[in-house]
Amino acid sequence: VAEQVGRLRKEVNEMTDRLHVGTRKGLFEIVRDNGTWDVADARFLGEPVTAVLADGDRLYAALDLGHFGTKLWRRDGSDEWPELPAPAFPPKPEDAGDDPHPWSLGKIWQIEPGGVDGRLWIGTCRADCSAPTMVVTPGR
Amino acid sequence: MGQDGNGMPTVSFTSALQRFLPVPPTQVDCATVSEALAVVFASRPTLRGYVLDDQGALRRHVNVFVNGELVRDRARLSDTVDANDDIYVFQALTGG
Repeated sequence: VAEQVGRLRKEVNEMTDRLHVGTRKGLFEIVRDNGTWDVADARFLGEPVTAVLADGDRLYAALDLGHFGTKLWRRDGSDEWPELPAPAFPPKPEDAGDDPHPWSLGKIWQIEPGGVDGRLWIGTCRADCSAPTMVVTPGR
Repeated sequence: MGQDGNGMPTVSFTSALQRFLPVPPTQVDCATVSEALAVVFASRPTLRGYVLDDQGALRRHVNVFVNGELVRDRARLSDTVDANDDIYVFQALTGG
């Protein structure tokens, strides 16, 4: 029992000793060691990171690249960050001609686990920052 | 003139894009800007979303030049290209 408690305590400590912080200037991993917080890793330096999700050993980061649009990356246990397809609007229907808003992804402002493998809930807005909405997208 | 003057237009991409997706200049057999980009996107599908929006139009802050002239049709990129033309995809310069 003592061994199990020790392992559990270690896991909890690891969970509470690590922060992932998305900023306008990149994604930072901040770790507490012996009571002192320090930046352990930095990715996407200089780019706006609009949303982050740590889901088990996976880490998702949404970036707003400005000129080149909103993108989604995932680190899955290793140091590799493959890019995932970002959510996209379907072709604008013929009868939507009076919709003044662009049918194009603006920003990702939230990422949540989808509850099952292969699914994420992603909070988005359109390219003119109108119509915030949630979409489901393949994730894990 | 295209890079080695073999008759096909050349598509090049801004260095600002190379940070995310390395794309070398590519010679493509095409009649329009749209066709040229489609050839490049076929071998690099992720690149499409960097240049075009969800409806296939040129992104608001991306420009395409043909021999130094801005393309006219930003929605469908139907501007025609001739042999040896240089097509250049560039980020728009904005203030601030």
